[in-house]
Amino acid sequence: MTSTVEPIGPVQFFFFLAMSMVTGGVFIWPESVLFMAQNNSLWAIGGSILLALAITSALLVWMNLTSPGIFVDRLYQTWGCLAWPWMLTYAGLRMVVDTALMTLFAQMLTAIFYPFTPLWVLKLIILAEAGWFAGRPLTVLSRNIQFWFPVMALSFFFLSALALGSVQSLWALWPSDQVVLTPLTQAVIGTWFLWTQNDVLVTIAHFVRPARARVIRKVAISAILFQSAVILLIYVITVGTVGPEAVMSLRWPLVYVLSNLSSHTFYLSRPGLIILLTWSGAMVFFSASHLFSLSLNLSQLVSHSFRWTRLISLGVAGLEFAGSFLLATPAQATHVVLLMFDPVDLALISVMLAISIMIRLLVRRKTAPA
Amino acid sequence: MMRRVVRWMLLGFLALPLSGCWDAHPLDDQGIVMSLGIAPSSRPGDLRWTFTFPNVTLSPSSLTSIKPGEQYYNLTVRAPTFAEAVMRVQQQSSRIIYLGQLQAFLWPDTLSWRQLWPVITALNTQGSIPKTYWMIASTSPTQAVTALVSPEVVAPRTFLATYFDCPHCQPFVLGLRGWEFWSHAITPGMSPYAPVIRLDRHKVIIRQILVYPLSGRPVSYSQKETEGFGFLSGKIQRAALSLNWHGNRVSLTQLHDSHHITVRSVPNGIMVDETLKINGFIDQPPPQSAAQPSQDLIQQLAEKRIVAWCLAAIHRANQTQTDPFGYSEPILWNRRQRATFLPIHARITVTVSLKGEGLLR
Repeated sequence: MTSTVEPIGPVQFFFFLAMSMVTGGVFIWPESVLFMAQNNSLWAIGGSILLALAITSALLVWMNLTSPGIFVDRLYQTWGCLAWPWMLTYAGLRMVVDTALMTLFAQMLTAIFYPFTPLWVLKLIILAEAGWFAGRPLTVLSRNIQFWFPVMALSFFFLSALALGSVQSLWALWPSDQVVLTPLTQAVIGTWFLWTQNDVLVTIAHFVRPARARVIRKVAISAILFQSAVILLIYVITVGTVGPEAVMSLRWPLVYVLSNLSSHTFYLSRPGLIILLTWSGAMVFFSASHLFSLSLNLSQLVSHSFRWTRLISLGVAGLEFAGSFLLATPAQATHVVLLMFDPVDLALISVMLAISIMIRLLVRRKTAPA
Repeated sequence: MMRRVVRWMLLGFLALPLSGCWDAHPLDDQGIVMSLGIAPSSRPGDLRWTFTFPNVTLSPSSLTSIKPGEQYYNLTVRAPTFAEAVMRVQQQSSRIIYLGQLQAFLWPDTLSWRQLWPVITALNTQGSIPKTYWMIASTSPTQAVTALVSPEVVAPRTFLATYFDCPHCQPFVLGLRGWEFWSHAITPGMSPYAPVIRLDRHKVIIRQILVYPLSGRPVSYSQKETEGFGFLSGKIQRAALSLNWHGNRVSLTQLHDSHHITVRSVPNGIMVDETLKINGFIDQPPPQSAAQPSQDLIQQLAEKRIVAWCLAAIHRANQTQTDPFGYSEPILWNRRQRATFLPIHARITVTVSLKGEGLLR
């Protein structure tokens, strides 16, 4: 077998990309942004969306300046042998954030839904499924995501519509007229974990047919805007329902709000439990999309082929499983995501993209006919 | 073929540790708590915890043979904390306590905030307890309230949960779920409140609220002040109002409102402008009064009455330094100020529109 990759369509690409951002990170949203930006939170959310659009735009510019290929191919074209340290650092950071988010999810399940089930069982099940999906051909994975993403999105929007009925604190949704820049900037940087899917965008875009830059651009921006609507909706239903102070006191505010939904209109005593199904699926596919992209890039880096993809995805899932034991508490996992991963990864990707674009522009000028 | 077998074996292994196989407890080993009541204990630092369970012999087929008074039983233990109370009641009942079906949490109206708040926090911290139980303060002993049964309500529903679940059964929707009470308590500018239940010869009366100020003893709002609170905070569903009209009783029914509030900061507190638009019907018109002018005058009389109740509620709030309306919330959030009481200056405008007089001329 020489390749596990076949072309996919723009719609599948949209679902793949949308699944690889926000979905796995909503467990610490929006209390982290509220905690840092307080009554400037809405500005911080706006800033976060602009940040995602800006980094993605830079990524698309870099893609335009390089020849077709996956993330690591374009790194090679730009950096030569230095692609190795870049890719390995990037892979390390990706594993750190995925491990922390998956651990947080498993800790949430233990704290709220399965108090007696050992944590390792939940982590193992999620990672085993994600690793298995990541080892499948791209068409299989993207078809699965194409099927599950709308199901999960619809069930989430259904629950959100129910939750909108208990929104009371409308006053907390208005942004403050006094903007304090330092906490605002910290809050915006603190949201980076939601959007970190650069390798997925560049890698999967290579397999999209028709392979037009305009299609890739449109799909990437649509996926970001869709997920922006999701995080805004989550902000409205959490802050509007229990108030900002309560959101800051809760570890998983969205789970709290949705699991306390009570409705007598439907024949469901606790409709909020649907979210359990939605998020378990979302977490599996979120991890799978990242594992797939990472293993594709690492396989290409090591062997210039995709033949090691399945093995690497299982290996990385195993490493993440082992690494998750280092994060014993949700506070530690949140700390790793917000205070370690976010600033380091954002700084790294910004520097990498800025220098890469400059290098490619210089190369292009040199090679261009006089 | 071999790979497929290995794959199915792996899937089987993954299915084994799933929750259902891991922590399943037979129903006979579980004590499903329907309501929880606390009360001060004679021993300092301790509370008396009353757990209400459905009768262990209860099943759909036995419902008809069990007397309503025997559908539930109470177990009372003394303990300083929630965790210890659960342990002790487990020992006493030799069952695992399950709080996933908790329907009501009760406490006496004399209980101080210092005693109540740790219990609220403990219930709220436990992820496996849904925070949808009703919060109820009681002037009667909590054990008597939890033992309350009604022939209309069949186990495993409890009377109180059924009452609060039905917004149209209440003139003012005073019911408050666990998560709402906790979020009120934690939000600066909002004084947490709860409905007060009073038993009068086995009849349930819920007409008042109990409000907790920032410090000091809980404050009980009178019936009129509670009605004023209900109008001001948009909690009327199908309220009824009786007026004296030239010696006759005129009844207004199905009152429901829409309200608009603006709050601004003033040097010595907050200025609240609240406009209430109340719609309803004249249920029992006065004799010989089909003419429009009398309806207008009845409307004016109703408006005056409602304004008086609202002002009584505001007066009570200022007098006791409580704000169950949450008027100060936006101001304190914008100022990033911690909990403090801001005196309320209010301008209340009430417009009553009576839609008709029913079918009789």
